[in-house]
Parts: sequence; structure tokens; C-alpha cells
Amino acid sequence: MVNNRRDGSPGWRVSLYLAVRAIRRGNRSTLALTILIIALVVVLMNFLGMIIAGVVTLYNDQMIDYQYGHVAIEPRDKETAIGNAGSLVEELRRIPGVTGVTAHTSTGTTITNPRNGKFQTKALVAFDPDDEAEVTRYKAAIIDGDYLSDGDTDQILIGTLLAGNEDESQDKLPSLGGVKVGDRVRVEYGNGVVKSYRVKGIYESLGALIDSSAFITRDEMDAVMGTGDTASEILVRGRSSGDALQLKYSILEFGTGEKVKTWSEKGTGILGDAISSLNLVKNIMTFVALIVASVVVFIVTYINIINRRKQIGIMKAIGIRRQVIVGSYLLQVLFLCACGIVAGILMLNGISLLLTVNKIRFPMGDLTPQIEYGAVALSIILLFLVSILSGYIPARQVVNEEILDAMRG
Amino acid sequence: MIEVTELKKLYLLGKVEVAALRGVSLTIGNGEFVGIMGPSGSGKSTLLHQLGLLDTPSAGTIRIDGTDVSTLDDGERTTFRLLHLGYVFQDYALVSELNVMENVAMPAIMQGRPLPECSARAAQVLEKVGLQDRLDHLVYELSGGEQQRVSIARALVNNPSILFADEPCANLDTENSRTVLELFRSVNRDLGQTIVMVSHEPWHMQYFDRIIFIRDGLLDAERMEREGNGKNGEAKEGKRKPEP
Repeated sequence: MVNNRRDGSPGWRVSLYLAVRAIRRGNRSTLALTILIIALVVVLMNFLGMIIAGVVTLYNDQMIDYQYGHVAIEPRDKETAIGNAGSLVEELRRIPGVTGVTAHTSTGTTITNPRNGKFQTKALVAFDPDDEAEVTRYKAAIIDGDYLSDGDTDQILIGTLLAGNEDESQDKLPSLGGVKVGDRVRVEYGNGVVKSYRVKGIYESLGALIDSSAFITRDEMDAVMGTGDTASEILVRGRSSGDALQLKYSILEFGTGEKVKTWSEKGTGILGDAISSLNLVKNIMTFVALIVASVVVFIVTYINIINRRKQIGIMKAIGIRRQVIVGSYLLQVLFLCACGIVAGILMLNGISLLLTVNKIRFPMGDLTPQIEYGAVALSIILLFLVSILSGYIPARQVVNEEILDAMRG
Repeated sequence: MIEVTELKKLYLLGKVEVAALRGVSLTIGNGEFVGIMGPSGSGKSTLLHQLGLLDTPSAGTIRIDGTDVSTLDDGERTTFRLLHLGYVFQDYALVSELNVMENVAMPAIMQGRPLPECSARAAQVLEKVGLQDRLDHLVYELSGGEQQRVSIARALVNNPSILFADEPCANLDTENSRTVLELFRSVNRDLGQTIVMVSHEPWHMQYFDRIIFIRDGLLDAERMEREGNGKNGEAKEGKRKPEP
């Protein structure tokens, strides 16, 4: 009786042996093109996500730095203002983790440029300049003139878009038609008071809504509107945006009866919907890119295998097991995929660097693309799975042929 | 030793059943160099494919060295081919991405032997076929005759019980054909290698110990009687002596 025992299990070793040599001695152009296509698929799968992540970060930073701080405290339901704002601000400062607190008072006004008669209806916001500087970045965003000081009564701070240009065609939003530092603007309050203010400073955050606002001091607002020790909102800054929820709980534990919201809770508005829509587009792009990748890998493997049908038949004839042959093609696919992914990540980083240097301007500021490595990891896993499947199907199909059929080519 | 009993192979051509082998019985002893000859379409290649486990017969049994190979499943047949059989095909059938040494070493590597041992064995066999200076060459750098010698070396690397050759000289000129046949005769004589070879060239007959003639899917008993073989293909008067 013949011994029909197989020595050891060298399958993977032979697959690797065949795959390494097929890659080394195969067609270099096909190899390079396939790697390039997979690299472009990686870029396609992650590019929009990179932009969306940049938009989200930009939007979040704008919200924190100019609109809400880390935590915003609002009046209770059915109330229009927070009472005893001064003492609440002081108490909030004592909460561990709080690095700045500022109270805002706002009222509807009409701001007019007396030189040309242009006017805009705006919610004029009042703050204590020193407190504000601990929470928001208006002070740092001054591009002309000076920031407000405590005690300023006839001075106003306005955003660059509200100030506008004398040439209206250069305005991105309706403006006062070219107000400069030192000019005077007339403000009509809801209670009928009309007052002239000197423009002390002009700021620019690059955020469209933010740069079309105007600010005065709380003392001035109190003098005109009699707001006293009330606030329409109080903004709190903590150590980091990630700690905002913890900070909110600390404030709630402190026992305030007002509504307390983190910046992210405040920010789930219009842009949140836009980001959901963009994410949908991104998912569709990812799906299309995966189909492209799978078709490319399938075609490359299929053509490769069809050209070697005879060779595969011979290999089976001389005793090379089917799994070994399929394994060698899968290893080749994995290699192509791995090289494509590495090249794709390098290209993605290159694009990110390029767009960081040459920034894309969005309505809320200059966008810095951000590679989300979690999403990249997911795309890599998906790409590997799709590629393995696309390589396996044609390999299996040909390897399962009868030896003589395959050998006839 | 190969023992074949009432071997039949039927093909379906559309809805028509065609009998390529219609009940062949024969025996091939160890160490024999047997030629299978016959006119085109007689069934000689079909017979070789059944004996070499490259195809599955429709009926009948094949025993190789005591093993009824007809009962083996696909995986067992693959392993049996790897461990016990060697093949030389008409068109060399080498792997284009492997060099000469790697092509020859491949069946040995597949057996799970250490790589250096496989390489040493491949080099040894390649020396025997006269290609010791071509170890690193790729397939496309070799002539047809050289490629066929690589193919023979690959078939011999695992010391097979039987070497099957399906018209190995069909694509070669007379000189290269003679080299290949001399090589077969040499391994048959020196190593006692059993060889079963299909051929349609009358001048190849001088190299065979014995010839099995096939006609219309059956042994051509009349021709075998005439050529000096018994009705079942056994040699009547010992081995045929090859002419120099």
C-alpha cells in the first residue's frame, strides 16, 4: 500500500513563496497602476471626512471662542434675564475647573452710519471687557483700534463684516458701508434712546455671524436700558472643551436654578444638520469608492488568473493544493492593498498639508483639514475585506475548474 | 506497479455520449518504460490522464502500487500526485514567475521539506538533466528543449513512483526530442524509474521497453501481437532494446 501522508502543512509557506515571486517578477506597470488606484480609493474614502472634520473643529472652536464658552447659562423658562448676575458670576468663578466667567446683556437696536445713512438692525451685546477676555477671544481678534475697557461709555466694538466697505460690492453681508476706527455710529435702543458711539475697535474672527455683531460695556447698557444686575446669558470657560460636560455637572451641583448647557448642546443647530447631510454624502462616496476598489481588484485578479489558467491547471496537476494557489493570489491582493493603503495615507497627509498651508476659506473661517484616523482605520478594514473578497472569488472560480479544462487554457 | 481493470471513460458532447475508453485492462510493472501509441483520437492521452489521476474514469479500477486510486477524493488525489507521480507535458508547463531552480524545487517545497534541502535536491536533478548552469534563469530565457528538460527535472525531484509524459517531444525538433528521449531512457535505466509516455512518432518506439497500442478506446491487440507485445500489452520477449 502506498503511503499517502502529507508531510507537515507547508501551504501558507508555498503560497507566500509563489506570491513573493509573482510580485517581484510580475508586470511592474500593472502593479504600480493597481496600487495607485487603491491609493486614490483611500483618498476618495477619506477626503470628504477630512474636510468635514475640519469644518466641525472650526465650527466648534468658533462656538467656544466667540459664542458660548464651554458652558452657557441661560434664564429659566418663562424668564427673560438672569437675576443677581454679578454674584452668580463670582460664585461660578469659585467652582473648580472654571477659568473665566462673563455675563452678557443684549438688546435689540438699530445701528446707523451717519455718514451714509446705512443702518442695520442688530442685537447689541454688552459685557465686562476684562471678564470677557477670560472667556472669549474678541480681544485677540482686534484688527484695528483697541479692545473695550471697563468704564468705556461712549465706545463701541464692531465686527469687520458689520463695519463693511464703502464699496458695497465687497461686502459679504449687509453692513454699515465702511465704518472705521474713530468714526461715530448712531444706536437707537428699543426704549427710544438714541446715542452716538465712537468705534473703538474692529475685530475679525472670520466667522460670518460673529463678525456682524457689535459690543458695548455692561455699564453703558445699564445706563441706557437700566438692566442693572441682570444678564441675558452667562458664559463659563473651563480647562478644555472635552471637560465641558463635567463642568456643566459641577455647575448644576453648585445649585443654580438657571438652564445650563454645554457648547455642544448649544451648537446642535443648523450646522449640525448640514454636517449630517455632509456625512451622508461622505458615506455614499465611501460606498462608491469601495465598489470601485472591489471592481479594480476583481478585474486585476481575474485577468491575472485568467492569463494563468493553464499554469494553475499545471500546478494542480503536479500536486499543488487549491488552497495554496488561492492563498498565493490572496497574498498578492493583500500586498497590493497594503501598498495602496500606505500610498493613500501618504497622499492624504500630503493633501492635508497642502490645504493647511493654502487654507480653504469657509463662512466661519479658514479651514484646516483634519484626518480622522478612526475613520481611516475603518476604511482600511473595509478595503481589505472588499479586496480579499474580490481576489478570492475569481481565484476560487478558476482553481475549482477541472485540471484538464484549466490546462487547455 | 499499475493495474488497470476494465477502464472506461465517457464524455458528453452536447447530448451525445462519446466513449473515449471502452474497457481497457493492462498492467505496467515497476521500472518499465512504456509507450502508449495510436492514431489521433484513439484515446491514448485520455488513458494517460486516467492513469495519472488528472481525470476521473467513468468505470473500472486503477491500482497504483496497491492503492485503489479510483476511490480517492479530490484532496487525496492531489496529495497522491504530489507524493507519488511526476508529469511532463507537451508544452513544458512551467511557472513563468519562477526561475529554473524554483520551478524544479516547487513540488519538493510543497511536500514540506526545508527550503535548503529542496534547493539542493533541485540542483542535483538539474545537473542530471544538464542544466546546472541555468539555475537562476527565468523560463523565457530558455529554449524549448531546455524548458522541457526543466519540466523533466521538476517531475523527478520528488523521486516519483511513476513518471507520466504526454507527448513531451511534440513541440521539439528532432535533436531536442532525441535529447529528451535519451534523458528518459537514462533515468529509466539508471534509476529504475517507471515511465509511461504517450507518443505518435514511430521513431520513438525504439526507446520504449514496451508499447501499448490503443485504437478506438480499446487495446489494439492485433498490433501489439504484431509489434511483439502480448494481448494485454505485456512484453513477450523481454524489454525492447533501444537502438543507439
